[in-house]
Amino acid sequence: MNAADPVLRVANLSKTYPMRRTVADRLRGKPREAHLAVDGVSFDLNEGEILGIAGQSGSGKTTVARCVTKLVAPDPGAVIKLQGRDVVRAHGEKLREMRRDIQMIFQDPYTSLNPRMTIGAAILEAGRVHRRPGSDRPEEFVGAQLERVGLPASSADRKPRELSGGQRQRVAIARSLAVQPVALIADEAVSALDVSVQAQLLNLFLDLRDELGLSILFISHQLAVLAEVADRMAIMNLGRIVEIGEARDVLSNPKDAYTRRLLAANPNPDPSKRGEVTA
Amino acid sequence: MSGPVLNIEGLRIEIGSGEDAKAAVRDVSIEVGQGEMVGLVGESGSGKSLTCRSAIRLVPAAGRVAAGSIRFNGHDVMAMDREELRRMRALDVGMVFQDPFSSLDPVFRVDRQIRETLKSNLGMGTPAAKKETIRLLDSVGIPDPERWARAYPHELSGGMRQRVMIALATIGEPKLLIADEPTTALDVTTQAQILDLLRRLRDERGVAVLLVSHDFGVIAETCDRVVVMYGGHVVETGPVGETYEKPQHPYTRALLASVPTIESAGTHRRREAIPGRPPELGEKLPGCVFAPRCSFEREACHSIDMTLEQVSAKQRSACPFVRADGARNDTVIGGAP
Repeated sequence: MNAADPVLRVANLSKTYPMRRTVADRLRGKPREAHLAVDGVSFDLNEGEILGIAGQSGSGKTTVARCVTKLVAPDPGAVIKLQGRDVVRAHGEKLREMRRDIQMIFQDPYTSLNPRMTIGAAILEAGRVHRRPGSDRPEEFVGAQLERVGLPASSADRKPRELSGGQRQRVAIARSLAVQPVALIADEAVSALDVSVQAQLLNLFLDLRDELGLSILFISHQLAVLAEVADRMAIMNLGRIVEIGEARDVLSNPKDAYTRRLLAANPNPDPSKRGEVTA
Repeated sequence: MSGPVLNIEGLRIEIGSGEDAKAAVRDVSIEVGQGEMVGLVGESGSGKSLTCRSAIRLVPAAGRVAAGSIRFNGHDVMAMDREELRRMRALDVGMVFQDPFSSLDPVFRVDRQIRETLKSNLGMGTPAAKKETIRLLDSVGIPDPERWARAYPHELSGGMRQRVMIALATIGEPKLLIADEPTTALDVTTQAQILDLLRRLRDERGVAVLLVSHDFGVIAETCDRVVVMYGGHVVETGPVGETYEKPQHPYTRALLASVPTIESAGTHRRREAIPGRPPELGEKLPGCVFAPRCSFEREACHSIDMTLEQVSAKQRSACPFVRADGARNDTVIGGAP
């Protein structure tokens, strides 16, 4: 990998899902229609960068994330490279390695943590499975991961249900970090949290970028949330990236009509800026 | 009639019974004037949903109103019998919830659900109800109402379903509409349209609205006045503009400081997050419930009783120590400076 190469390069990524046919259509032999969820998306995620992806539900942002981690196979012709390694054609041990290097964090940490496992055990398991250095000394290993995300090492013995939503999301992040990834994908990772806790988590993501040099693909439907963390951002609509650039440029000087519509609809906490919304 | 549409005083709601009863709402007072749009903002567990539901006695079975009075147009809601309560819910107060899908019956077409409601609530005959259904759907901004009236709920988008719910809620020309997180499940552009619709209902038909949201931005876009709740208490109330410009209670101040904004793009400043987490149900905190997370916390905070004090012409705050101008009022305890 060259020093100038991006951590993640995505080019010409499309994903088509076949639509369901009704029984009548099937009997008539009507061909399956296809739904183009992602349509020719290209972007780079640079080292130590937070790239925000914004868009409404159904815009294809989550499908992009799922293709990048090869949870779904993209349409032929897509190029996805993680540190120069081909994700699309990876399988077996190579794929396992890549999935270790790019970790995903979901909206609801409660459904992504095993309710019967202590959080310490969950974090340790992640490190052990990927044979991470240090994982042979459980207490130190788990303690270090927990402290990195701002939880006391003593919380290792607790179960997910004993934690608040914000704490659970910290555990999910600690577990991702336990395998020492180079990139994170945060898919609506703070959307379910209360505002006061959300700000804590956003700061944590900024710390991870600054202190560990992690690259983060940060997906959210809230432009204001992305404004807080993203260095660059991409706006998606109907499967396409309609605009991509420095976060400040995109938000203060939007070129695309759809971006402007999203911005106009964003609820402003300052009532003096209350606007007639015509979206 | 010139009194408030809704007047809640000293409301206390407990979850559980006997020894295990935990107070979820404590000494809450809220007033909604005629044609007024009041926002109730708070994080999860603040008691905002329970408070607004108590206005039509919809507190879930595990909970009960343990103290306080709830008056609708001067009538005691807690003393109403079944028939009075039914009439109030049917005609005078509309309610819109976060998830419109679970409030609509999936096996009936939209028009039938509205028609049945019109017949039972207003005693309309079928032909009149049919016409009224189309008019209602049209009034909430559903395009081509004749066509969409024939749709099943699952065929509608989230925004359309919420419009149908608002159509149902406004059937009897209600005086008050209670909207509990009506836009939380919607995309921002759809959210803006629904907020616009609520505002129009108020402006054109004079319906008072109690809008509950965790998002200060949603309240700021629509409401005249805001009531801020935290840990089962009202901590501050005042006009939306003044509350944003000069939040009086430390919690409001911290909450506003942690709201993400578009203007942050490109600045490398971090938001000051509120440390810790909100209190859980039944957690016993003597004095101010926000004290453990408050940057102005002091000894005396643990013995105050969190009553709202007038702190400026239109603002009231439950913190006797801290004022919007940043002055710390150490000498006066329990009174305005």
